[in-house]
Amino acid sequence: MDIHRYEKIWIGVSLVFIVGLMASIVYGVVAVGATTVGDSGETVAANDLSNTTFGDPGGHWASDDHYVVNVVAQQFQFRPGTREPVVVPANTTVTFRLTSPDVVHGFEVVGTSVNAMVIPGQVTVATTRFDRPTTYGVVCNEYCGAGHQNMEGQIVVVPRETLRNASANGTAASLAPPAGDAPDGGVA
Amino acid sequence: MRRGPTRRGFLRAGATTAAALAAGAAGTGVAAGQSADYGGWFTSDSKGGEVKNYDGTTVDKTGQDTVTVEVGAQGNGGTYAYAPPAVRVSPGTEVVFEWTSNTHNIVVEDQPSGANWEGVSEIKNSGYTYSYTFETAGVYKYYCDPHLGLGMKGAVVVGGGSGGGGGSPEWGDWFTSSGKGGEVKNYDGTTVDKTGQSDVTVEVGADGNGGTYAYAPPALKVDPGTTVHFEWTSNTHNIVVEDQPGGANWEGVSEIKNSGYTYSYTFETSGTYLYYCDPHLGLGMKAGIFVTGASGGSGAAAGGGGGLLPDLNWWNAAWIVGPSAVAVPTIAAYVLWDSWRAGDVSLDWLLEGETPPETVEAPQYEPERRIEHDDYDPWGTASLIAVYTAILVVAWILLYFVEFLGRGPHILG
Amino acid sequence: MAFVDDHPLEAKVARSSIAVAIIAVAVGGLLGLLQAWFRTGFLRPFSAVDYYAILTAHGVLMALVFTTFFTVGLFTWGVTRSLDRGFHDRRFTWAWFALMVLGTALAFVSVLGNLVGWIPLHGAVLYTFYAPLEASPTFYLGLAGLVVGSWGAGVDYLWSLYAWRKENPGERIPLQTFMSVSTMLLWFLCSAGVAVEVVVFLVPWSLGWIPRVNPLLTRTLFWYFGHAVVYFWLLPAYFIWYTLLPKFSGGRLVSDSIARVVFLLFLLLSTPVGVHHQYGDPGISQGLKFVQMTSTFFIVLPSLLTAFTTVASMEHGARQRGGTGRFGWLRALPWENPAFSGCALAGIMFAAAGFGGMVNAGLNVNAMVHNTLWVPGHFHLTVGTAVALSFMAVSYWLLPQLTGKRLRFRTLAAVQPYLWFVGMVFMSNAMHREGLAGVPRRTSVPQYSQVAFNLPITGFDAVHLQIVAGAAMLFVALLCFLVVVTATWFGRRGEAPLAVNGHVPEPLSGPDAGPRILDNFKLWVAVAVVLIVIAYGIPLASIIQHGLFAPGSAPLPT
Repeated sequence: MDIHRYEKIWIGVSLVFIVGLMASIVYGVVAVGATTVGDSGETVAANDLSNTTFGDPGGHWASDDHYVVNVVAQQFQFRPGTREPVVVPANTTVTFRLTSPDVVHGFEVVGTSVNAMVIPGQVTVATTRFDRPTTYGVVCNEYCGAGHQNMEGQIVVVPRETLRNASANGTAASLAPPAGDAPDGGVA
Repeated sequence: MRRGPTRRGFLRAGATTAAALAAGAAGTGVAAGQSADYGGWFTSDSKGGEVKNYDGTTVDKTGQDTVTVEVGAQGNGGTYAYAPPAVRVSPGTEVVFEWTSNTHNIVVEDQPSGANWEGVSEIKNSGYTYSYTFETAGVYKYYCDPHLGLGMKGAVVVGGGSGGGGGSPEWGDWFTSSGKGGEVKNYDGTTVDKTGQSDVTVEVGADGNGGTYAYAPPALKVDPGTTVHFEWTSNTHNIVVEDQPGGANWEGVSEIKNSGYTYSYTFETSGTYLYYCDPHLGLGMKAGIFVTGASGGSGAAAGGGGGLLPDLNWWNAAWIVGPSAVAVPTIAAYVLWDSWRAGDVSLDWLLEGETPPETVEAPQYEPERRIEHDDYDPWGTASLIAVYTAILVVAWILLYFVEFLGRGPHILG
Repeated sequence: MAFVDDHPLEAKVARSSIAVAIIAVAVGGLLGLLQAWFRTGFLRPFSAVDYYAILTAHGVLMALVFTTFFTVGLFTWGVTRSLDRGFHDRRFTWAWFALMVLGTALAFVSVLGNLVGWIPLHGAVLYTFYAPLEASPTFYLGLAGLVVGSWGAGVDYLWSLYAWRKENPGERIPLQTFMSVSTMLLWFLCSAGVAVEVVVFLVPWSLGWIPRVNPLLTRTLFWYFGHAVVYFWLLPAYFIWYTLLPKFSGGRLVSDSIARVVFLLFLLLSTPVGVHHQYGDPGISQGLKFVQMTSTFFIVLPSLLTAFTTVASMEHGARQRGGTGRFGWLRALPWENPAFSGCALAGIMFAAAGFGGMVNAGLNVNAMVHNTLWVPGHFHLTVGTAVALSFMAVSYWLLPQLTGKRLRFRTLAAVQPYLWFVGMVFMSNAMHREGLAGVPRRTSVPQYSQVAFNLPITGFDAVHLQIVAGAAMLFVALLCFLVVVTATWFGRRGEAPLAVNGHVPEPLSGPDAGPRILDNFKLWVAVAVVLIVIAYGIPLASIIQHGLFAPGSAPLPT
């Protein structure tokens, strides 16, 4: 085929560039551990979550260094998250397990890359780690019906020992006052 | 405003062959006695499943002007109930729906033919109230969209039982934010009943709506022949009549008057009178007077329930179609005639049989100089592409390594 | 003799398709303006719930109706012209066109039902119509009609090609026909996914014949279609850039063979990459997502090749016009000709958009921008400018030849591409920035009570102003376009000679420089099918392991 020399060079550069892009992604996955949601293999019956781990959603300690939060994303709130914030410990492996009893929702922790889809019948498992105590906003970023624009919540990251003690005393609920003011920032 | 819910109910009933969903589409008759026929609305036979907070009884609130229904009361495994779930009221009763918890709405599943209740399609939270005056007799079924699956359903039965009559006011959206001027904050959903009195007083410029910008009471019910005395209690107000029953000729008070001024008018003709204060319309200074008698609700402010397009009843349609049918062809004919005269318009496309004139194209382009394949080296392109590549690489490094990897928690493998 | 004289039937088909496309972009553009006002809070003349119906209509009109109709109009012209032969059976041709129009009308009316009370239909499900959100069956049937009707166009092109091949054995397929046919073959392959989704699952489900569908399965079938469809939009723009932009620049396409290779690469790679829209989905393993990511990154290659080839062709034209220097030749290009400037500006914008696409393709970095306003920012650059502006630009050159009428209001036409470009720079840039701050897309009121967004450097007032100003400029540019084409269309045929000439010069390096195997569509379609089976076989098998309808969900009408 008749290709100009410059274009041949460009094909080579392009391929190197593309491989470089892929290498960046691999670096991110391997060195930083940043990846995305996978297949948890779990399915649930969306129309009756009452006998599943989502029957009483909330957080609990799975082990010393692992805190698991079951969240139900439904029209038009996160349970927990909307009425009272989700409380998670800092400097701990935190796993969010999400499902929906109705339609597809999104779970986006604003300002971070913790961003996943919640599909009825499926269980989304997203693991992360919060470095320091702070408050994050959570929005549903997938259209889910007439009240989609109201679907929001908060995640409050507290010092690890604080939550551990509260869980032991059974006072974990008091760490999460009902929906507070938005953290400092702008109104979009 | 979207009329989807009601029509959807009919469409679904018609289109569904294997009726896996809504049952009770029929059964709008009103039976004598306590319970109405809900056609399985509260049971697991109909969409959403069983309404656990329905105990089989229909609460009888006939004879009352206003009845309250809690939205989001305790029930159905959470705050997912209407309380009471089934209530019977007289025609003309105003039902006040009060939200006592968050994220609920009212979607109308079914209603008597001729009724046009639209419910509340937007999700509302605790503290929100909404009122609707039920006129047409029959059974109205409704549910909460997000909590349908939990059994949050309710019903209002209009008619039957004991209770007074006399017609009732239908304010439409006059007091809400959809009515001109916006929400009337000093209207609490109740209509003050002053029937049986021959003289009634309405304060003009009472406290309300963020200042002294209210009529008190804003919603009033009187008998024909009642004299209403309007007393100004603050400055710069008037009374502009927005709407009144056909045959009435109340002129209000168009001049701005000040504190101390009084004006009286005897209301004879039955129906709904809507009025407002010109300078303070934007603050919500509006009011209504309903004069009992004849059929309730003279259709005042019935149209335009918010939303993108007006309700299409015959009246609105006539107002749109009539002038359009005259104006649009006239204007179009004039423009076309004028263009034709100027030679700008051709109707060749109508003349199928004629061979259209051959189209003359511009002459073919001849370049200033011809550069052939072997003489051409795109070195300018190579330079541009090199610059572009450099920009891409820098942008990628900044966005991927600095912005993405450097920021915030990630989903970890 | 112009095209309208040589092939009056095909000219009528082409201009009818383009007319429908223009109506769609006009209505869709107005809706877009309303959305920009609503989201920023500038003006809210309807409710937050109505917004979603408007958003659905905007997406469907712009991304499905405008694009598909314009494409079949453009390709009808291109195939007929390059083969110099008309269609096989005029009744078949008008039948598929009628099906497309009826389907469009049905779908549009379904969505309108959410806004107008007396239409007993509903369809505020957005352009992606994810289950379990459910529209009236007419919505799905309407879209199916649009897609199936467009298949008819592909059949017509293939018919013409086979007849031509019989009469011209051994000859290389003319480039415009090659491009049209390969695009339509891609369309057949990828729309199969959404056809299955709609016909097998969503229509019976919305009619109540089946009680449940698996939302993950229907979503996956949609995105099998959903990524390839963007190439169905892009390839007509590339058609314009490869075959016509060199002529607008005053030069010749540098290599016909490279263009063929590019289109074949798209035929092969467009569909097996759909899962990159589902990186955040449960139920699909990370390994499979990674595999599709690699194909996604490789599909950047044909676009990078296009960048070089089209710019080199423009440079050829500029130098033939007397341009000199390393960069000075740019000044010699005919920037006052809207057919040229629209395509050139569209290409510049696409170069920027490509970067956003690379971010979207990255398995992990995607999570930073997924479903935020960055995504609409990206696709307004790609389909909204690279494709839409190229379509508008080529209309200025093509419509006179399809109607026999000289272009009017040439000054407005000359200004329009620049106005569009500037407006889009403002609007899209603001959207990208908001997206990086985490502001979600697809929501009517992005002002929350518990959630705040951190927008560095400027505040939200500034980006809102940019969005509103950008949208206003885009709308004015759209009006300019509408005025020009409408005035042209109502002109008198034969009144004045056209200002354009339909001749397309030969490329510098012709088709014979490339191997014959490039023209062997049967082979390439087979390879494409194999790649699709490899890419989608395992994910789909995994999703349906519990049955076709499990775990399933009942419909939620919206």
